Amino acid sequence: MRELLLGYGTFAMYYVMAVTLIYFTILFFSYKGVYSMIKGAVYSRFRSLSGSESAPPVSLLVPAYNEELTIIENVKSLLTLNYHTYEVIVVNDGSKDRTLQVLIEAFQLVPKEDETVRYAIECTPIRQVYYNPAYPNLYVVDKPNGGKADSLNAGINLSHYPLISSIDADSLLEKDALIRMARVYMENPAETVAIGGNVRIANGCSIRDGVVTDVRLPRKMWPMFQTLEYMKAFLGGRIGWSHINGLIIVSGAFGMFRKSSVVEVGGYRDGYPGEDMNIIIKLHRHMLENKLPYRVAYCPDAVCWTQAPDTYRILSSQRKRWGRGNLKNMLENRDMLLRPKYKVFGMLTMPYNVIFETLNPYFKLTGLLALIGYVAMDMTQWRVLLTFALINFLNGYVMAVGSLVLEEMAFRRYTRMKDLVKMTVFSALMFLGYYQLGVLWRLQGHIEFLRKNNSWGVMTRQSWNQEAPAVNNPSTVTTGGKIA
Amino acid sequence: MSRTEAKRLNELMYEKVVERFWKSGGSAGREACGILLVRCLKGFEEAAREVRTLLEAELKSPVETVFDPDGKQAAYLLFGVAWSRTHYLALLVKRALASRAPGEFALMLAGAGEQSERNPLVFEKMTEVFGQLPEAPEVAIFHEQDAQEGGSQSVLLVDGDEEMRRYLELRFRKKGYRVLAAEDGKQGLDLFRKEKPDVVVTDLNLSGMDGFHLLTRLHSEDPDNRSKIVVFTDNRVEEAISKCFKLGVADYITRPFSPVELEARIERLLQ
Repeated sequence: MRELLLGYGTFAMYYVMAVTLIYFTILFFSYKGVYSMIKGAVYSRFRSLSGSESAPPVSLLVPAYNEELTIIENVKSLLTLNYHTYEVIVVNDGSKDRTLQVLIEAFQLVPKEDETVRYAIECTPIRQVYYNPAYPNLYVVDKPNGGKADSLNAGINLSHYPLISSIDADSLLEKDALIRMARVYMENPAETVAIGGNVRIANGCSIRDGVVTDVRLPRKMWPMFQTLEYMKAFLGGRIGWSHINGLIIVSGAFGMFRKSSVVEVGGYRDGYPGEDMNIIIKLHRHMLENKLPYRVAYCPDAVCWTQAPDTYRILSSQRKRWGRGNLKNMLENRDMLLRPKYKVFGMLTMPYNVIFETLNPYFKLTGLLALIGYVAMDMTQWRVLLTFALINFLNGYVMAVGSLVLEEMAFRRYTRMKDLVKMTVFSALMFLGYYQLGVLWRLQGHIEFLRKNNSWGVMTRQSWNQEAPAVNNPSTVTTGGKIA
Repeated sequence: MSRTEAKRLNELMYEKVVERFWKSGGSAGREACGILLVRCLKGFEEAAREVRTLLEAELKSPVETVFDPDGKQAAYLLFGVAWSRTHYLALLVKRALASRAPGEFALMLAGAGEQSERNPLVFEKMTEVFGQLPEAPEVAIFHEQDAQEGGSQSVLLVDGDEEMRRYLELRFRKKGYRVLAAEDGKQGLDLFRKEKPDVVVTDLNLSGMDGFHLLTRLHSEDPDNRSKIVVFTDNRVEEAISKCFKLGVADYITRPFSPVELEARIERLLQ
């Protein structure tokens, strides 16, 4: 027993060292990426670029399931983006509430009879396309319920433009978001197949006319933790991964894709959460198997504001879903693991995800058991334990503060000194419970997976109007993982 | 009271202001100058004298007075007196006149703004407005801006960029247009309904309402194209341009732009 524990301890130490090393490498690449982004943005004139013929037209796909509260505000905001040619395709996924009716009423839509839909990828047949010439950029598609992926596929089939962008119906885009993404695409149009956007949490911010006017930190605890978590994942993680072309997920809340590539890989996969990670894995696989040069880019200055779950129940349900989706995707694509054919993706991204994301809860759990064992068998001293705990905390804290510094260097969305102090304090508080809960939720997700639970879980919507009374009727909705 | 005589009063006022400007060696161009216009139907001369004494006692200095040859109106030029103080004096004068000739007088508060020595039109407008003022125990207030804007052609500017709005507003104003500015589509549409401007200069990239939708709405508000619409935008895509012309716009100007060209095109539309 003693030998076993000792062996485990040595192993755990290497594990922690490896993960720390990877984290810091990625953070380093993130800094590099942000540095070149800042330099690039200085010379880009986005206003002028947004009217230039060389920016390709984009189709925005908005899957909507039971979104009657927020959909009008969101569509209105999406219709006023700063971009020369784009269309907004809202796909009503057989909502049980009045989503379709409120859309038809608000925009005086009429059925469009002359629209032919090419079924390039499989999806539930479309019932009807609605349109109003007074809003030339808006299409509303009505179809029977088929899930989020199915709705996206239907949107792709209807779309008229070469680039598609998926957006959650509960999210708001900044006016410049599309053109900033298109700029990244235009840097290398031949190779770019997907671009991820930066998702930020809008809880606590003031919103007027579908535009975030005053950026503030959330007042509630759960959204506050998530704000920091997203910041760390997007700025400290994604920028770095995209720098070495090893990005494994483009957020379902806001991402842009080359339509032809998405059609080639057969569109979004149905019937399971985690479709946003799945499409990226499929793109990596397709391009690498056909030996085509490609890149999956990330654009941190294209911002999408989303509402984070603000209660324990909804948050845990979301995280369990992510846990399930992640496990499913890893199992499905285990053949890519450590195969040189799949380059960075197979040799680095996949192993990293399996060892440090998917299996993370098991290491944490066994670690805890081992710790109990050490204490019980009197193999350790409190000094040693304290040292390890302190090193662990400092590592994590430096990482978190590293992303905060990145944020303040490049974007400076939170300008108040009070907010900065609050973020630094909460970054430390996350170690007391929030991270541990994350491990628990992921574990529960895995259990759900094994019991073949396949639903989306609960999620509630709040009207964007903060003064409006919050609606607390839980409903199942199609919302993808924001950071997974 | 005929118009020609009213004009004489303004000419006299203008002369005094110019005289003051030259005597001070140019520095008077920047000083404030309050103006009180008084009309009294009964016992005008006595009333005018009383007002003058009152003002001089208040200010402790002589007051420049101009009399209308018609014999019913007078203007008091209070050089170096700020607007707020002039307002106070006007209220004192009102009280004095109200006890003297109730219901028989008119009183207007005005000011000669910066560089008024170059602008005789302000005084013309001032006396014209005053001439039409009914006799009432109230202090009417004259705004110089009204003088500049009244009667001229109007331009509605719809642009989300504040800098651009202010710059164009300034330029159009100098051209003598009455400028209405809106920061988004909704505000633009409201102003359009209320004011029926001669020209609308709008961006396509607006907040709150999509630019094409605004054009559609403007078109349905005004199907005969009585207001000329100029689209002024970053969007240089052919398709967008043709879509705009189909929606009845009169001109399409892309940014980066030349302000001279923009003004020339607007001028041509207004002819």
